[in-house]
Amino acid sequence: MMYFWAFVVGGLICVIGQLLIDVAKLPPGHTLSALVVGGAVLDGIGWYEPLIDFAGAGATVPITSFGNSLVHGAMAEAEQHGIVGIITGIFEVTSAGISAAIIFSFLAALIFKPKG
Amino acid sequence: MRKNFRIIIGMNVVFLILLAAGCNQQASELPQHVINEETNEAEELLKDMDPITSAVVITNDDKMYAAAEVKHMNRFQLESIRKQGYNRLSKRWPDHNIHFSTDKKALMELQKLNNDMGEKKVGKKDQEKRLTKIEEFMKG
Amino acid sequence: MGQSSQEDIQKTYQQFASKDEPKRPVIMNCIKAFIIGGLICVIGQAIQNFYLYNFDFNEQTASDPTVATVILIAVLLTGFGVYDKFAQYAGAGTAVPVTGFANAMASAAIEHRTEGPVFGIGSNMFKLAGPVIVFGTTAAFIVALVKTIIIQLGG
Repeated sequence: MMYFWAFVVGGLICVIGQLLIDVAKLPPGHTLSALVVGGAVLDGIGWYEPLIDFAGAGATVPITSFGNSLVHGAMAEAEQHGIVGIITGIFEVTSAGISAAIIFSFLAALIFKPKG
Repeated sequence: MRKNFRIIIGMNVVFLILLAAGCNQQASELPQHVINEETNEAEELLKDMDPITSAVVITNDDKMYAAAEVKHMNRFQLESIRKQGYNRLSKRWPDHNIHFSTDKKALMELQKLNNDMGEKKVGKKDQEKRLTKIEEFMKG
Repeated sequence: MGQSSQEDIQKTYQQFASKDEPKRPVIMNCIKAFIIGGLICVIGQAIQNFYLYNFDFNEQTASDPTVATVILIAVLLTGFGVYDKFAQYAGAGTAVPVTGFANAMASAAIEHRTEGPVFGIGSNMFKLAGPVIVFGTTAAFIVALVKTIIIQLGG
């Protein structure tokens, strides 16, 4: 069941991205940024976590989940330390994704040669 | 070249999915034992809730550890189901320390412990250790 | 030649040119994006279940290693030169999941390795990732701030 909804929800989020590229004519950087902001706003409303509960990886794999994690980290710290917590907590949950991307990309640059 | 690629990727995808699906089946194949009257009543109380399909409960003195599986279409309301289940259990046993979770991992581990307890494979100390671990899985 | 006949000529030309214009296959693109993006998420789900069943992760924490693994796969595919073939076909299907983010970083890093680690790799890696992180962080800050203020006002 989860696989089906992961497919559908993940696919739909990608379709939204495709529409932003083709119809709204946004370049990829703008599209991805818009999606991350969208994820952050959806978590602010409280809609992203139920989406993750329902669609699993369909909601955690798209880049929108970055926005969700950023808000989550911020809110978790804010609950304990007030407004200052927002700034200290933002990267707490996201670190896995960003660290992995940076470290693996750098290692790849040391190992792989550019094509053509 | 392009066609070969698609076939290779397609096969890998199917392989991965089968792998994961195979691992998934372990949890539901364990027989569920009745530990004591309390746990039985708690499990029935939870299964009585419409979105819940199965439940496992284990008690340790005055601590109750409960996990339930929720129908997929109801997973949007997971948080409110959690609160509902917790309230039901707390109302019935107000003097108990109740832990209720809908997490799949917590359910799996609780089912394993239930099975081991039913087959008398685990002592009290081990029980408590595993329950503490399960409590960790219930958070979040 | 008067104004009106100039406009006529332009109109006729427009109609003529628009017939040969490559029509942007939006619907086809969306279908491709849906299928490939969905498949990537399904693979991600399989990976997540793998971590859930075989390691000490619960539903909440299993997404961390899953995302890291997906990023690793994307970086490897980029390094082997295979990723671009998928990306061209799938458009947003590969760009929207974290694979796009990882590929952008990895391909920029690999491309500029000849310029040295600091100015080549280091500064070019964040060409796409930079805006994503900046806007994500700023948006998250604003959202969290608004939410916290609302909570504190209500309490």
